[in-house]
Amino acid sequence: MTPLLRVQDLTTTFDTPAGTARAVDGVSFSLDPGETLALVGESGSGKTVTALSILRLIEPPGRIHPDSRVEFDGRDLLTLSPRDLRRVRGAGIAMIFQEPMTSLNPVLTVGTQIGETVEAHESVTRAEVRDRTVEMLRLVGIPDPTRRWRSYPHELSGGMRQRVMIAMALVCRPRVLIADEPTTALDVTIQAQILDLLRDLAQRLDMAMVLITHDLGVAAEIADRVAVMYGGRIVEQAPTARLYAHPAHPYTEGLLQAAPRLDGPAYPTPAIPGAVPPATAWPDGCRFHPRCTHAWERCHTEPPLIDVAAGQTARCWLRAAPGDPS
Amino acid sequence: MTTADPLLVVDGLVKRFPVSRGWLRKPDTLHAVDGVSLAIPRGQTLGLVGESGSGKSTLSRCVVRLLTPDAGRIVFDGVEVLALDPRALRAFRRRIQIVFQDPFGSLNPRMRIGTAVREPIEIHHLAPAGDADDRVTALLREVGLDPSFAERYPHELSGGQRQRVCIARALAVEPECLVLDEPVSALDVSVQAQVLTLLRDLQARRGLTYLFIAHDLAVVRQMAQRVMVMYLGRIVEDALATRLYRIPRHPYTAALLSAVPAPDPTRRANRIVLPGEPPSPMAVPPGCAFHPRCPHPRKDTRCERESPALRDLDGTRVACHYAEEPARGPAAPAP
Repeated sequence: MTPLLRVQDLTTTFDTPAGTARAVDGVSFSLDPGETLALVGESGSGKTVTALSILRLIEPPGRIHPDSRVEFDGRDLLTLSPRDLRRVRGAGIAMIFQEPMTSLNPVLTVGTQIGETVEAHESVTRAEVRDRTVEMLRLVGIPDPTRRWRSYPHELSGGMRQRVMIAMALVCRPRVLIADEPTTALDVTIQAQILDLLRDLAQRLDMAMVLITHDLGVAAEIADRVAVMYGGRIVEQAPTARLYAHPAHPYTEGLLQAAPRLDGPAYPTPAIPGAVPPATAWPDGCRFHPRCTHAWERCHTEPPLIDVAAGQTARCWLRAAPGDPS
Repeated sequence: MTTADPLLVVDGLVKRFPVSRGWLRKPDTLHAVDGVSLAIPRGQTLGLVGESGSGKSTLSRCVVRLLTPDAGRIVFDGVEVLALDPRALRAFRRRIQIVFQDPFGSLNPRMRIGTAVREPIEIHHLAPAGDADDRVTALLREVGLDPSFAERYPHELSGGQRQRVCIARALAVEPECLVLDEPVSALDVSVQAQVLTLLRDLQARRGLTYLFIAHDLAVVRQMAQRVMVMYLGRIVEDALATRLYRIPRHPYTAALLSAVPAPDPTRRANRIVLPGEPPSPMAVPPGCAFHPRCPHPRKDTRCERESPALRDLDGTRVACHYAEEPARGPAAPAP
């Protein structure tokens, strides 16, 4: 299958007073039509900057490096004219963010805001816009959509606002949805509803999804494949079942052990020592090595991406074949 | 008093807030906490779980007297806290401290860490001026920070380090009880476990009593001997942790437990997804407040009419008319 979205050697840096922050540093992955990929990582791992770079939403002092490639449906988004790029945003790839309240305009009704998206991409009559909007609100499970169409964001709960954001993102039927921590600000019972909704919509609309999350539990719920990010790089990638059962990178393993679980021990789980260093001062070689319990001299050299099993790759010397000269 | 006696007892606590509906209109009343009772034995941890609007944060602020409750009693080590005069209240504040969720908002960005930790020692005159620095050094060490952190500013610290500073600051007045309000919710998973381990160690070393508030049942399970679940200002279940996680008696507890996403893709199908959202605490449904969302197979008109009392069932307190029957649906997680 030809991938729908192919990200290759994506590097995004920010010039800061403290030096150049290599927030995303040589990230490559691909997404098949209809597939859900979870990008998992802690704060500062580069997952959000990866998503923003795909849609070219990086503002100076941020900079996407010229060798990076983001191919969507065979075209490189990074060299696309602003006009063509606008067509892709929303209608080809859409994005939703963590905090629905700050992403919605407080002085416009939700109907108007969803309608704007349609008008920006298609030539439609007002009646058509309205019908499409109401239909979309119904699709995302908003009760009484003909009335809710006139609501302002502040009149809605957090869960309903996130549903509106999803409606706005999907109204032009994008082929890829990038969801950045879509359930993090929500209560756990509402989180379960939104995850169900996203999974259901992805299937019904035959849409591929990149789900960005810090929560391995959320990724396990919804993803076909998981990519784990650390220090601006993807350190491991694998089909979901494989990653949770046989993590290949010590960081993935550490995260899985640290995640509190209902069927785990009734005392604090083993933590990963230390903290994520700032992006202006990544350590040499493997960026995880100062926190890694398996680290040895070789880890001062950057490990390559190593094939571990079918569809599973890891950036760790532990996975190198013995005698590998690199 | 023996060590088995509770250090902290809360009885029938009520906290209401007036909510303005615009001028000339009578303000509405929000029942944030509606008749909550609890007891924490000395040296133990009570976990308090609930979603937004459950009243758990209001309750915690009443317990440390940041808010004055409208009714009920708070008894700390045999002393009626609500009857204290201002002078005695000040002394009481030393004995119970609170740590908040956001370690960024809880520290003055322009104050060095050392000064921030020294401040409560000076306010309460706990050490002669010359000894205060030694106390700060010892406190920083105790929370796992190098004493050189005293010279730094909050923005130079990571979230986990900042939360350690907040804990050191709370410990500076040598309290017996800590109210921990979502202390790790803002931290990354790999760091959460570090802070939880620190809190467990401090409890063992100092014999501290914790009221541990969190929305994450998996985190609470690692910390608490007893767990209380709140919904719209009331307790719906209060049980020993070993029992609550195995046999949740209230359908809301069962749903909360099954909603926690497990880092295990083989468990995907095993979830109860509750319909709807928690109603506003301004408009609590009549009867059982949970009935509009309740998935219990025995739910009937009684639940719409009659508010279930919090009653004892084999040592578990539960507020459900049908608590004797299994609360977990067929989709509950395996024990």
